Amino acid sequence: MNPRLRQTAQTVAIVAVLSAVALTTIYPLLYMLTTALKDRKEHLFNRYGLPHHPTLRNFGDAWTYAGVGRHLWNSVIVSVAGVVLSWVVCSLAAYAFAHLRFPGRRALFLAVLGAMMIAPQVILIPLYQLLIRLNLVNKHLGLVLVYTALAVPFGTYLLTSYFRGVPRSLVEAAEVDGASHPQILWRVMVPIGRPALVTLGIFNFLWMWNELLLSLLILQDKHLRTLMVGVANLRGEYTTNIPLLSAGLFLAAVPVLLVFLLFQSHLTKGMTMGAVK
Amino acid sequence: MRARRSATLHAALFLAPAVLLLLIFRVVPAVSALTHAFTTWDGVGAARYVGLENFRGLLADPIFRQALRNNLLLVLSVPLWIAVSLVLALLLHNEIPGWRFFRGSFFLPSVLSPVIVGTLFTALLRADGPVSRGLGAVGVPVPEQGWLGDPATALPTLVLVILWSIFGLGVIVFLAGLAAVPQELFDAARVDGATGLAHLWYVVIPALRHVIEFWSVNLVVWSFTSLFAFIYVMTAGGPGYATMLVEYQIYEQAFKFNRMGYGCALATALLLLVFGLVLVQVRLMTTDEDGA
Amino acid sequence: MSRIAPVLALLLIAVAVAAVGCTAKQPSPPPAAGPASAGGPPGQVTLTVWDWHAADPSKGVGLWLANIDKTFEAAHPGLKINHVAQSHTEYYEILKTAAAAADPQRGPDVVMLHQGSRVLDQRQSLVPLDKYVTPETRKEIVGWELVSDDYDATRTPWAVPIAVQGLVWYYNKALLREVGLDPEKPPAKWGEFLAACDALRKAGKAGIAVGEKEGFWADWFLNSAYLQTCSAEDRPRLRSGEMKWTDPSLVAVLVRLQELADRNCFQKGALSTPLFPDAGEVFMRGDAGFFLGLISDVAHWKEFGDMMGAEKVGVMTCPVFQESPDASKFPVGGAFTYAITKWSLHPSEAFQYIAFIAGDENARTFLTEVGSFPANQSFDHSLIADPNAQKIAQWLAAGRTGPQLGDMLPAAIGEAFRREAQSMLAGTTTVAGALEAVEKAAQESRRRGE
Repeated sequence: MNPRLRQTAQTVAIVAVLSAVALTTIYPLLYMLTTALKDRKEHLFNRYGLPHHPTLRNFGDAWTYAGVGRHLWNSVIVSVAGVVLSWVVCSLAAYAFAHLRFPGRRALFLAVLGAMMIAPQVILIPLYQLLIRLNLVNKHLGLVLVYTALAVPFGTYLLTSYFRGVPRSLVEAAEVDGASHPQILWRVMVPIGRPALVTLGIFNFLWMWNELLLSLLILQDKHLRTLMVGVANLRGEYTTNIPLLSAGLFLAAVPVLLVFLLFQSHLTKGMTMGAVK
Repeated sequence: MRARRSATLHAALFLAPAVLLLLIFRVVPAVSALTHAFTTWDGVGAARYVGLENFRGLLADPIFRQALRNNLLLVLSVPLWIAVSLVLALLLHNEIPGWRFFRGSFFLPSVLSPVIVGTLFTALLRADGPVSRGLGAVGVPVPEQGWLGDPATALPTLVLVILWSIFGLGVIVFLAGLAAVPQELFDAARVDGATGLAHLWYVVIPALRHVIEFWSVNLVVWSFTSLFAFIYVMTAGGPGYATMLVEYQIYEQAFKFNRMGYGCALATALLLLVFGLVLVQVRLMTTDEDGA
Repeated sequence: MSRIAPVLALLLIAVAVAAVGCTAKQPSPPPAAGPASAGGPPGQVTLTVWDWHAADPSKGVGLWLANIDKTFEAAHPGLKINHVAQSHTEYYEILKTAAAAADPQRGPDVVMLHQGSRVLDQRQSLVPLDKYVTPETRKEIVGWELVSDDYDATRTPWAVPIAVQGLVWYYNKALLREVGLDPEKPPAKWGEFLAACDALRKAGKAGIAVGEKEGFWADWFLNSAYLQTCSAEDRPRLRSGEMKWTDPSLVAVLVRLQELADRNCFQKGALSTPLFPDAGEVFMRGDAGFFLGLISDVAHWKEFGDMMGAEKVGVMTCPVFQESPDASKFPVGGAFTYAITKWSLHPSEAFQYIAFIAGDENARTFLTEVGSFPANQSFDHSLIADPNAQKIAQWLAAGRTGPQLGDMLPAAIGEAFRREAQSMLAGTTTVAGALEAVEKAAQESRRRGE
């Protein structure tokens, strides 16, 4: 077969497969959106089809009942602060693990990893009591610190993995040039590790944004609460208004989606090329 | 000598924030939880020391055994999750037309909180829902009780939903890893005529070794510690105990039955198990390149 | 370097945002954080109230509570109510952690709790209410046995019931008429009931709309049917272990449950149908003839009346398969109550607030505005417009009720029953097997002193 033709056939096949997968990811979201556009009565009789009488009312209601305006800002504060702090803390640690030689490195690394395996359910009560003693309850800072602590094992592991992939020659070259460790981290690791940092940032933003239980626990005042908490309250004791809930969930998902859409272009290949030269 | 000492000093400084945070907010509460594993405690009042009783009970507990069995089945499915993400990442890496759109759409499920995912799929997987109707239309046998209501299909269905939720993250991770691999490696391999599976096996996987190891360790740990929200919304461990996982059992025992001591014992057992599994996994996958 | 600049700028912005956020001023003086008598005008007392109903102050219970707060504050100038809405699903987790901290500055003064074991489980964190509750109050309000020691209404109460919740069977009058049955005389006996389900199935509908996904329906059926086989004397014997779960009186109930499944009385996919809202919706759509539902809040006469038209809906008690003195009763329990926390600095003011909520005037608005039954039974029955609600109110007044079994059991036993019943209905265990497993769980629970 003509190689050009084969190439095209191959591309078509690949696109077909990818499209099929994309369909499975988009359909449920479309379903959520169409559900949000129905009113309760219509949803009763038309659960899976397109809305016959679409209405935007649920979004407005969800905005009000879930206190979206108020809670959105809190979510932004907490998530952004958590992401930034995690970047700093994890980069420093990952640099140490990836390029510094010190006694006990492997053991400490495994220990950091081990921290990931503690089921959150069980430390909930001692953690809360600790936070009270440290006067961190009902403060954004308290939640941010807990989130960062939760992010450390995964973030450190991820960044160490990537930093280890940076050729030693680069590091040595910088050392020869007289760069100190912080400078090496900033000038060599961070640029090369940018895809990893962006990836980590997105991960962390995601789960911090969506996190419910700790936020509920630590931020108790109405005006400090995050968005997911407000949305969760739409569920009530008996989930009866599915369209309203769907609208609320949709609103809660939009910011994270925006973040990804804005930053996904950073996940490009070839960034390392410049550094290697 | 001086370089070594300077490295250690720097290491200490660089590691301090991370270690401090972990110590204060994870280790200290975990130690408290560990000591409570040897007690009977309802979480509020005084704890009563009972030695190894909780652990003996755990070994004899049929629910724990079922939960453990389910968790191990989950772990066995992890290679599948890796394979799916890896293949898709490779397909995207070649930047076929529309690759950015696909990448975005694969990532969509990860954006959603498990609460949303669970609520969505609970509705979609009903016996009279679109999934059943669609599959039924092409002749696939559909469980009468619904995918999540039939004990035989509940766990596999749950696994597939979870896979749906996070395969996109894996794609992103592998894409970032592929981005760090020098293009020459791919070009050289292509020139040599390596195509398809051979290309995958001999070129890509070795180049991505660290990333694959990282992601698979992460998935295994995650499967033991972070599926709570999915189970909670979709099945609550049911029908019966068909989708009971150790993580959910901890929640149930500690918070629904007020058996914090026993819950702590379960968490300790879980911690040891996961740690052991990870050690084995890391040992199998890494070659120690630093000689340290 | 130029590649880093935008990232750097972003980082700086992020750090700035974070700095602003982390140093955000604390709500000064936290009337929002606790019963701080510090802060605000001198002598002002703030009561912090936690519940899961206040989340939506625009309608239903949320609105009712918001109005109550306003009225109460107006009547008591020195008192302020800080109502904190908690998410219902994580409610008890949050509550337990607050109880563990027992902090007067942060923890709530007044908490909402479900009747039954939920209240009694929290006793260590609550103030006993025997010196606050007057005999008058006791007479007016129903449901004391589910908030008092040993489930005995004469002993110390730990919470005040505000609402009444219970399980009754609804039926679709139009559907019954369609299959040739008299809508004013629904099947009261078990055999008739099964026949009605058969007829409905032949007409292309389901007999009962069932939501067994979380295991609740089997639970509800047990609560509804056990009154026929277990007498009032049996109940404490079951709790103490003297009567085992494998006892014939319980076997009889599960046999009937299995019979319903075997005779295909449920709609398709009942095991994966959530009870709320899906099973209710099956009934409201007219796809099933019967529905085991509630008397307050949701899945009840008001919701069905609004969605289907009250003239289409009827209400009855559980079809009888074993005649007994309590066979025509319906179970009550699981309603919400308010309690006072042990660490509160203002228990008497807290009780004033609770008593106000439970008072006559608010009971009336609870019925007329929220459409639910208040625990305070002093309301005028003529206020009830809905015929089904009237029937239920008459049953309540006539004492045609029994306590919900599920409310009197430790959580572990209730959970074991739900899961075993689910397995039984899914075909992976038998009636005997299920009850044996529950008995084992009960023994374990007793061994732990629960």
